[in-house]
Amino acid sequence: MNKKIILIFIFLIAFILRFWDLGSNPPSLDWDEASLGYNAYSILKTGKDEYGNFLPLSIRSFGDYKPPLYTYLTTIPVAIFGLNEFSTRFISALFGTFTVIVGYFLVKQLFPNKSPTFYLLSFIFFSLSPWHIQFSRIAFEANLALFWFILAIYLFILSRKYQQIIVLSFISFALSMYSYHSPRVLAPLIIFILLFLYRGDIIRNIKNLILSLIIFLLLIFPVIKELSGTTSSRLSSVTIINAQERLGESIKDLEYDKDYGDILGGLVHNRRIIFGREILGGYLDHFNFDFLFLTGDGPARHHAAGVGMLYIWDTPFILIGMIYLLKNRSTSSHLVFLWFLIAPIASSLTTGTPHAVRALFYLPTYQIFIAFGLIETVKWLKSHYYASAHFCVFIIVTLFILNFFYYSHMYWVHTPVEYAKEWQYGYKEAIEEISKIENKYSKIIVTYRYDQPYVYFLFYNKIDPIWYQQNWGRGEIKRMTRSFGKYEFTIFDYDQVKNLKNVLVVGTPGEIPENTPGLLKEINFPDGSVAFRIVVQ
Amino acid sequence: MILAVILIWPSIPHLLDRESRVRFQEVSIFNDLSVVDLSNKRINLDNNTWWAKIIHNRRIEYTKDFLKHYFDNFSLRFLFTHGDQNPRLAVQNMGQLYFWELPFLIFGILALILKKEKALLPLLIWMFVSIIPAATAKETPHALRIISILPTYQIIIAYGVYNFILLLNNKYKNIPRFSLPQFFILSATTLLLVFNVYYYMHNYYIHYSAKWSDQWQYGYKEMVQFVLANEKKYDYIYVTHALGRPYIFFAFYGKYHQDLFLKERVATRDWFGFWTVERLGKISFDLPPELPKKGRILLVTQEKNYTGLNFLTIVKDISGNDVFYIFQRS
Repeated sequence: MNKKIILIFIFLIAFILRFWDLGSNPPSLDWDEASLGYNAYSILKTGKDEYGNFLPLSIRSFGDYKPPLYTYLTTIPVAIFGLNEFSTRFISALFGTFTVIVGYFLVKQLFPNKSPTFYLLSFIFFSLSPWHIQFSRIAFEANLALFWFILAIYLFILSRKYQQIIVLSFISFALSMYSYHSPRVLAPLIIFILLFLYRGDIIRNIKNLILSLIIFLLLIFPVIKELSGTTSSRLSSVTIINAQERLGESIKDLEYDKDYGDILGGLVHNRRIIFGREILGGYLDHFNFDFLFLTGDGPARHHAAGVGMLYIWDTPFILIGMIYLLKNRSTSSHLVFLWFLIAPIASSLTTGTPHAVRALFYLPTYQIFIAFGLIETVKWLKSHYYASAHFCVFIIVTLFILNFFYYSHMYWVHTPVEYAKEWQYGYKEAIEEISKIENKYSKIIVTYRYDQPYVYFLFYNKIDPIWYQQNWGRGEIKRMTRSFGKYEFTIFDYDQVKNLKNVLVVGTPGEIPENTPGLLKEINFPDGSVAFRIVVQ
Repeated sequence: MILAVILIWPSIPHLLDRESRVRFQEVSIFNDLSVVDLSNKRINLDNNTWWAKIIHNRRIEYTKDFLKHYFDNFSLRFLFTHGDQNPRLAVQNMGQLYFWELPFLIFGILALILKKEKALLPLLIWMFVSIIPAATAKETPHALRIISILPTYQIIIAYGVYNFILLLNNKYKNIPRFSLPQFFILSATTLLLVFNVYYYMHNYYIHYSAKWSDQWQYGYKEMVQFVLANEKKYDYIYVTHALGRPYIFFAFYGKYHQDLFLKERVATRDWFGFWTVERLGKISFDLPPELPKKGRILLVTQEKNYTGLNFLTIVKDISGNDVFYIFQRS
């Protein structure tokens, strides 16, 4: 009974951490979120995305062709709560909360006969994981994919008892592939691992397995078909495998060897070796200490200021937990380790490693290690230093609480101020100002400096999707310039724009100088620096 | 202990003087003012409360910075795939260790831990201590500054390989004499090792010198020898200092006697204590703002054209890039 109350209590904390103030921290929608939100709105109203594609299997968005599931699911909260920040992020927060619960049951299935404290600890660590909280509070598809991914593994494990469930497991894998790019690499890998590790149980369940595989293949057939088309355009924009400049160097070396008559040189400068080295380097980047514990990855939107993807407190317990699991091997520990090892593979095929989103699928392996590590440490303390064990545990717990509060403080107080720029802060405030007065002007020119401004105007002005699709959602998209209605989005030279009449100009401080005549309003970042200047001509 | 103190004694004044302090400040992470700025900003946002002054203390931020630089030196990309980015410190297309060694390093560490080997602790202390000085500097990871970590990696890897073979023997001990899987695993590993060593050797001996000769200031020797051979034919000799400290190459390749060198050099010392040699005999280590009206001139520059003088010759590096252009008026 007592345990149940604690469980519910932790669940409530997990829920609050994911839903509290969802619309206003992170401080603003980034362009991907705004695009997801508007496309969900568009599909809800018309069944078509912003480009007029009827029920598309990938959302064209900015030409990056996002996997569709998040957008489709978001139509529900948008229908209930209207189109706003909260409804756009709702699915991520909701499934983030579900993920933590599924994670709890997965750990219970994987490691039966452990103490309830162990399950509780892994639940706590997953609920309080900075990495998971971060992506549960923003409309990133990866978080939804993580839910299906963990659910699929849980159902697979469960199917050893209830054989038919394996079908659901494979459906869940398929859904993860419709949610985000990474599972398109990781799901097949983990399926192979699961089939190999549980081959004994699988053979007894072969009929259901074959049925599941057929359903799985049918479900992902569109994804496979797409991989040769649109997704590959996404892949080629982020992958390291087609990087021509990398090969240029090796081709020079090859020619050098040829001039010297060195035949074996061909082996050394083979492009498979060149790419292999880059991929391995990207893979190994995910074990960087600063990425995990100190600063997080490059993009500021992926973590709070001044902290890493995990708590620095976790460090010793991760190591101890790993060593414990290596000593006490079981099929489940093999699964956790193999899962841990494949998690960064999808990310390592791309540039910009380490990458917290593409490698989100690490979760909750780290939390399992930490829980084991902590349990074993306390056990060891109790058996070796019984007298002071309670004191040591007290210190360890206090340190964790301090670390948690430090993270929370950074996340809630400092990050919204320090990283507001990275969140494209200012569009909402600027659009509020503009919509008050836009009727008076024949044209509104908006800077493209902060990228993809048009989607914020679609989003916050709730532009009628039918009208937009019919008049503006067609044809080629040019980089850095767009227009609809009387809005024009482009990178402009202020000296040329300055002489236009009856025009509202919205630009960055770099474009529009201070104290310019006709300055109507300045929109500031939370730290007080200027984001936009709105000028009347 | 006493002997150590006696041996270090003479270098203590040098460690305390201005030159070495300048050097230390130049590379140290603890002079980064943006850290202080950041910590002040955060404290301000928290209304200067006492707890804000603790959690956002600059010392905490510096500690984080130190830890980042410290663990940079254990970055696996640095160790196994890309190495030090400075071409003078590493061969560039591989890590500081062979990629082949990665699994055996991990296996070695695990074996050390699981077998409770006594060498584990000294090895770990050695590794963790040897990194400390390099971690206080901005450029991390740094292959040279952590060189005293050698050969801990090699010891662990050797231990890993040894235990790997033991494990294989143990696993296949029931198969008499010849076991196919064991044979296959061992030969595949060996083949990979051979390839990896060849990969290194090939890059080092065939491509490295040609590709990065500019990093080694290639061309100085050729240029200096040319200038010294023709020194007598000219009244004025000007040598560019664009590649840094040309005088030392003249002293080295000209085999100047120390007394002669000290007599002929014209040098100034700046506040930091760095010497700049401006002339050595009739060789000036700078290009003149204006050429002398009369007299025979030899001029070494990195500019392709020089008005008023005739082109004489060119010095190239191994990659075939132009390093120096030599002009004259005879």
